[in-house]
This record gives sequence, structure tokens and C-alpha cells, in this order.
Amino acid sequence: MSFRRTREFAVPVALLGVCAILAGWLIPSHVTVVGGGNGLSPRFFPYVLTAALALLATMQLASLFRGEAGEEDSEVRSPVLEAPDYVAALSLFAYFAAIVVIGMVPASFLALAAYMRCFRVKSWWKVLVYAAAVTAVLVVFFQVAASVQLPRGMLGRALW
Amino acid sequence: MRAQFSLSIIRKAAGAALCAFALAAPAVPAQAQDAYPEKPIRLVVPYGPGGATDLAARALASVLPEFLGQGVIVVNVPGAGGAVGAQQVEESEPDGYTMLMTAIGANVLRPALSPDLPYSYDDFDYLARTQINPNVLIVKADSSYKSFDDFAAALKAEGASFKYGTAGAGNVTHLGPNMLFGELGLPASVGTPVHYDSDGAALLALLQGEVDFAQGNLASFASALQSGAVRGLAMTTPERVEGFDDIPTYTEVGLPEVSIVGWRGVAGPPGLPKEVEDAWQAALAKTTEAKSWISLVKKLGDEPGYMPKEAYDPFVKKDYERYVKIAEEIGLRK
Amino acid sequence: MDVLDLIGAVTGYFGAIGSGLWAGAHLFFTLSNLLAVFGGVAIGCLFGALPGLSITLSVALVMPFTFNMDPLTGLSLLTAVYVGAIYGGSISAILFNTPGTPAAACTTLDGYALTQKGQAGKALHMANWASMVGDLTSTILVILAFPLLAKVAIYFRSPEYFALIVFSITVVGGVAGRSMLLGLIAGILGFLFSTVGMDPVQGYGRFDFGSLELLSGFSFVPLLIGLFAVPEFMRQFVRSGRSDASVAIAAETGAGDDNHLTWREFKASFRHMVRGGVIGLILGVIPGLGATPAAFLSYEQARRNSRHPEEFGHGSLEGIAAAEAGNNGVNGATLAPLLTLGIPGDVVTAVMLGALLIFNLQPGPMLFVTHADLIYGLFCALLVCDVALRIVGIAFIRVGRYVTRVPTGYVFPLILVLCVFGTYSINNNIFDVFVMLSFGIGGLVMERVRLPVVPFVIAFVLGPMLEKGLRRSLVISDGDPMIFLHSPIAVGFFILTILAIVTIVRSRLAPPNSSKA
Repeated sequence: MSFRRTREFAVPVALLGVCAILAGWLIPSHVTVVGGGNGLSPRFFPYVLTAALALLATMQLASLFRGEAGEEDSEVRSPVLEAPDYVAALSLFAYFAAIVVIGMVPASFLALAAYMRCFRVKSWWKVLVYAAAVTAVLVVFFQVAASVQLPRGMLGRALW
Repeated sequence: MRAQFSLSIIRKAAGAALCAFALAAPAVPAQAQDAYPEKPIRLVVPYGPGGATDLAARALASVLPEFLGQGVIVVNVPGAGGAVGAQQVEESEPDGYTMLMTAIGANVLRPALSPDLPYSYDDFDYLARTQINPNVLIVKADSSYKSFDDFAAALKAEGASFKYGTAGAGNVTHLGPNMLFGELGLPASVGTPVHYDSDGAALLALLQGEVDFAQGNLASFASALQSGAVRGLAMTTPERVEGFDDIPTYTEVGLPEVSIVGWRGVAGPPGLPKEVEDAWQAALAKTTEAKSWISLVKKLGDEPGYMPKEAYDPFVKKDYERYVKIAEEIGLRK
Repeated sequence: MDVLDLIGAVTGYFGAIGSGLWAGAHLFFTLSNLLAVFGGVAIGCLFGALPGLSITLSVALVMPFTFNMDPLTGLSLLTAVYVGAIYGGSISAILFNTPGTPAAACTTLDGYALTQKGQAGKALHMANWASMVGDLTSTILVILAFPLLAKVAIYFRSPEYFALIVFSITVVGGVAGRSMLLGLIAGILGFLFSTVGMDPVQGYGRFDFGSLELLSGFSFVPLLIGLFAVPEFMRQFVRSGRSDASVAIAAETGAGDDNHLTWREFKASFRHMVRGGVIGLILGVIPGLGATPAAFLSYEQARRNSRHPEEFGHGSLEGIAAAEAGNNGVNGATLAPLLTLGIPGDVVTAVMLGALLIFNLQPGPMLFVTHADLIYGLFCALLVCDVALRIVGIAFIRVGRYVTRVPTGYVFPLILVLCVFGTYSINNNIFDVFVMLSFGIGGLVMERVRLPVVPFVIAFVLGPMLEKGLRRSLVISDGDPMIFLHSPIAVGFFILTILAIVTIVRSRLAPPNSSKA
């Protein structure tokens, strides 16, 4: 069985796992039901949805076994995410962490500069001028015009 | 009034610009803090823009600078029925530059209904109550209940079963009718709440005939009352409300305890310095006497209801305790 | 005699509208009102077009100024901002696969495909014309039938509302994509994510794990931006990593760019625009539905009626026309429940309600007696908005076309940062930024396992409405499901739903199409 086929099977199997977690743990212990209301319980829809999801996942599995959905794409990628995808995803969380630590404005300046380099903007001075200009415009727009208080981050709070 | 408005906008814009420069220039050493408001103040509204609390905050922010000497910027932090914004203020630095527009929902009802919230009703430094928000009991205009007595008699009748529209579970519009049932000596089961998303949606349901009555925000029902689409049976304020003089109060019909009113005011995070407290208390006392503010508040459907800190603290406590009691009675407190 | 009476009544009805419009125009056509409309449309367009900046922010920004204006000027400004923003959302949807406003999510389907083919200008012009025609259609109908429209809201009680949502979900389900099964799975997942937070009926937490942020539920805009903009950013990131030089979004098509809308293309899409306007009108009158479902419904109807349904999703101009006309058709219609019942349908009308109160104008039937000229003045403002939409739109289209030729290194990092700022500013909450980035990665994974994003988004919007409608109805009927069969309107929608299901199943099963189910 090729990588591709494995992936197609993995989705419904994973969904069935999610359904089991929902029905067995999440819905019974994380949906509050308090007396004093009538009609359907807050758990009704989560249960119905879980059941529907389980049914659909099973149908998907069945159709895979019958070989129906084995529609061959010309482009066959083996893993769901490849190395560059992980880099991109990690960089996003790095950006978020930077916002929390050093504040939104400096973090965004750094993110802009770093991403521009990754996007093959070669000249350093263009990168820096553009990133600085964009950051300045955003600060003026959000903080001054729209009076949004941008997060200062842990560092910002400690400094001033 | 218009001149004041525009002046305050200019001041606000200038203040905001100054604020931004102050934030953007960390190198400037901290000045000696002589006079408290030295930069604009954020007034956090724990609800989205356009709502009653938001409009109340904006009305306040348009008049306050005159007495506070600094701009006031309204910041909306909605979420979890007001809990997110309230929590944000509760956690913030008590430097007097982040204040909360208090409301019965975020400050009292949420903590009363959910003991596991990260903040409690008394985690704030309440500065003053500015206004109250009358609730009114309404039925459709073609209903057979011409007066509150008709309605009360129907409630007390054998096998009575009513549906009423609310603006959401655990809201004043939900607890208010329950207080009414309690005071009439009836079980909560005489009325079944149907929870909608807003006072307006509850009103629509009443007009559609989907529910039998509703008790909610006067401002939201005012136009329907004036056009004669619905009939007001009782008002929750101690005195009759100007413009709605034909609607009796609960006190008049002999049920003074059903005085569920929404209220709004200003609070800060716990531990505000004395000078901040003083500045705000003085400014709020003067603002609530300003003609421009009073007319704005009335237009928005609230009643001016200034209450200084000394009275506000016990008022909030009393309100909290009574809603905890009701919530426990009807099994709402989890 | 009867015929004469009828003619008399009809002339009287339209005569009143005519004289009302005349008086309204008298009140409206002042320099400050025109400036408010043009300025408002421009501000709205800008906020709509910049991904991440929401209508809410733009309204919150102009709100303090409106309170200071004449009532008509203030209301015109708010309306213009709304109209502009709904249109503006299509610009970033077309250029960057990022709906600038939720209502433009549908426009990404075809708009971005055209941009990648180097035909951004065509798509942008079509979106502009469609917004205009859709808005104009519904505005004219609103003016002609305003007193009747107010009644529509009265007839949509909880059971009817539920039936309408069931119908919408079924019809829109056609957007599912290649595999019906995977589309349904994506829809169920979207519905499940919408259940996080406060239970819409009883108000208690679901899946909140004691966190206030989760108790508030996932906000729609961060989720939407996450699902569309962030995966696109990541794709571009990976793409640029493969090549050595910087590249632009649009394919290199040489000098002869096919960027102008031809009269034939306009004509072919015209009926979709008018239909979209009518669909928007109907959904706009019912409070709480909003522009997003209108766009999808209109899109799906257009696909059914098109001569080239296979182009939908791969750069169909008709698709853009239908989606944009649908969401803009809502604009004028939301005024009906606001002005006649005082019931706001969304954040913009909520702010307008506040403005009305500050101007001492009580919404309700009496408003039409006491302030008829103001209402008709507002209708004039809506009509002028359409003119402004075209003029302002042309400027935005110029800039937009230019942007597609700029190297992605300047565009996508900027969009990402804008999305971060914008997402934060919606609720002033950093959690939303985290939600946006997480859903972004989720969106990429969904794409790789071939789960379509659009059904997820639709279910996220419509799911809570479905749940509210069903649960409220059953509270009202004390648990008796027969309540749904007692209402003729609801039964009508159920029959339509069944017909829709039959059509979908047939079209999927019967002809052995080139595209497999």
C-alpha cells in the first residue's frame, strides 16, 4: 500500500478516534448541564454531530476499502505536511510567541523583515525600510486613529 | 451639546496621538507623577460596540474629559457575557489608566451564576454608579391583560403556564420574571423562559406571538411601547419613568422587591491609588450632574442614577447576594 | 368600479413613495451628506479590502463622529461604511484568497482562481458591478415594498427560522466540492467547532475547560482569516522557498493581460446579479442571518442556472457576480427590521440603532409618519452609495491590479501582519490571534487531506442558527415536534429542502460525469 493510500485511510480513522474522545470524555464531562431549562439539552447537538461524524467516517472507510475514492491525482505527495510546511507553521508560532514576549509592534517588525527575506527580497535596505514603514503605518493606523491598545508583551510591560 | 461633543473628539484625538507617542517612545524617562491623569484613559466595555453598555460608556466618555482633564478612550473587549473584559481589567495594572464600565451582567450576574469564574464580584474597586436601566414588563397590545392585576391573576390561576422571552439565560430579563414569580409566591414553573439573543429579538418573539410576555430593557422596548404595539404593565424602577408615566411601578402594585434594574458605573482594578480614586469620584459626581450627559443618557433609555462609592459598594454586594439566592432557587447556579 | 379602486390604490401607494422620495431627496442632497456617503464608502472599502480589518472596527471608528452630525448625515455615513465594507471584502478575496469580510468568503472560490490566471482586473470589475447591481436591485425593492418587508420578520418565528436554515444548509451543501462525503465531514467538523463556548440557548459552557476565552467561543473572523489567509501565506512561503527569485501572485501572462470586463460577460452574469440582490433582500429582512449565507445561497443558485456550471470554483465570472450581488443585497434590507421594529440584525445596525436613539428618533411604525423625509433621505443615501461604489471601486481596482504584479515578498508578509493586527483589534484579545494562526495551520492540513474548507465555514456560521431554531421551537412547543408541521411556511421550506436533496442526489448519481463523486 502506497503512502498516499495510507493517508486516505488515516483521515477517517483519525476522525473515528475524535468521535470516541468526544462521546466518551469531552461531551459527558465538558458540557455543563444545569437544571432549570427545558427542551433539548446542551449535549444533544454535540452527540448528534458526533454520531453523524462517526457514520460519515465509516462510510468513507467503506468506500476506500471498495476502492472507489482511489482517484489518482497526477501529483502524489507522500506525507500530509512536508518539511517547508513545518518551517512555515513553526515560524507562525514563533511570531505569536514574540508578540507575547516582546510586544506586537517589535514582533511584527521582526516578522516582516524575516519573512521578506524568506520570500527572496534580496536587498537588506529594502527589507528594513519597508518593514519599518509598514510597522509605522500600522501603529499610526491602529493605535492613533483607531485607539486600539496593542499588546506590549511581557518585555514592554516590564520596561514602561 | 454638539459643540461639546466635537471639542471632546478633538481632545480625544489629540490625546490618542499623545498616547501613541508616549508608547512609541520608551526612551523618554518617566516624568514625576504629579497630577494623576497625565495621559488618556482606557475605559473597557466588556461588550461589543453598539450595545447599551457601549453607548453608555461613549456618552460618559464624551463628557468626562471636561472634569477629568484627560481623554477617555472606549475599548470594547467582548466575550463570555462580559466576563472577558471584566477579567482583563481586574488583572490590569491599578494605575488608573485602565478602567471598567461596570454593568450588572458582567459584574454581578456572571459571578453569581458561575462560581468558577476567575474573578468575583468584589474584585473591583467600584468608584460610582452612574445610571440605572429600567426594565419593563410587556405583553402584546391585543392581549387580554389590561393591567398588572389582570396579569398577576392569570399567573396565579390554576394550571397557569406562560412562556416568556429573554435576552439570554442568566440575564436580568431571565431572573426578573423569576423574582416576580417568587414574590407572588408562585413556583418558577409557571413561566418557561425562551432564550433569545437580545432584548430586540425577545421583543420580536413577543410581537410574533411566540411568547406571552417579556420583561426587559426599557430602551429596547420603548419604540414598541410608544407605537402601541405592546403594552407596558409594570416598571422595575422605584418611581415612574418620565415619558412612560402611564406604566405603574412594581412598588405601586405592592411588589417592591421586584425592583430588578440594570445598572452601570465605573470601577477600576483592585488597589487603585488614593489620588486616582479621588479624581474619578470627583469627576463622576460632576459628570452625572452635567446637563449634556443627563440628556444623552435619557435619550439612550437609561435613567441617571448616581451613587457614590460608599453606597455603591454595599449596593453591589446586596445585588450579588440576591441573585445568588434566586439562581440557587431555580437551579441556575452550577 | 373595483378596477378603478384598485388603480386608485396602486397609484396612491406609488404616489406616496414618489413624493416621499422627492422630499427625501430634498433633504439628502446637501454637500455634507454627499461627502458622508462618498467618504463612508471609501472608508468602508478600505477596511473591507484590507484583510483582517473588520466592519466592526470601521464602524467603531466612525461612530463617535456620527453622533455629532445631523441625523441623516450620521446615518448615511454608517450605511455607506457598511456598503463599502461589504464590497471591499471582495477585493482581498480576489487578490489574496483572503476574504476581507466574512461575506466575501464565497468570492474567494472564483476570484482568486482568476487572479492566478492573471485576470484580476476582470474579476475585480465584475465584483464591483455585481455589488452595485445587487445592492441597487434590493434597494429599489426595499423602497417599493418597505411597509410589506417589515411584516416578513413577523412571520419568521423559531420554527420557520429553523426550516429556512435547514433549507439553506441543504442548498449550500452543493458547494461541498468534489467528494460529497468529505464535504459533509468538513461541515460536521465546522458545526462541532461552533459548539465550543456558551451554549446558545441555556448559556452554559461547552468544551471551555474553565477558560474564559474558550467560553466565548471561537470568533468568526479570526477563524475565517485563519482558514483562508494563513494557508495562502504558507503556500506562498513554501512556493517562494522553491524558487530563487521573487515572484508575483499572478501568472506571467505577458503584456496582453485580459483584464477588462466585456459587455458579453456582464450580460451573461446580469441575471445572477439581480437574483443575488433578491436573495440578499429576503435574507436581510430576517434579523440575525446576515450577508454570508446570502452570498453562498446566491452562488449556489447561479451555479444551478448557469450554462457553464463546471467553471464554478475555477474562475467563473458568473460565480463572482452571484456571490457579490448576494452579500450586497443584504445592505438595504437590514434597515427594514431596524427602522420598523427597532430590531438590529448585526453590529452595524446595532450602532445605527444607538445613533437613532441619540438623535431622539424612536424606530417603529411611527417613524414613517413623523420622519418620513428622513427615511426616504436614507433611501436616497443608499442609492447614491451605489454610484459611489463604482467611482471608489475604480480607484481600488487600479491599486489592486498593480498589487498582483508586485513580488509576493512585499505583499504576503504585509498581509500576515495586517491579519494579526486586525484580528487582535476585533475583540482586543490576543487569544484571537492564536486562534487565527492555529486555524491557519488546520486549514493547510485540511487542504492536504482533501477536506474542503468552505463547508466547514458555512456550517460554522449556520450551525448555531440551526441549533437555536430547533431548540427554541421545542421549548415553545414543550417538546412537541409537530410544531414544525403546524406552520405553512416551515412546511414549504421542508418541501423545498426535500426537492433540493433529490436534485443533488440525482445530479451526483445519474450521469457518469467526468468528475467522480
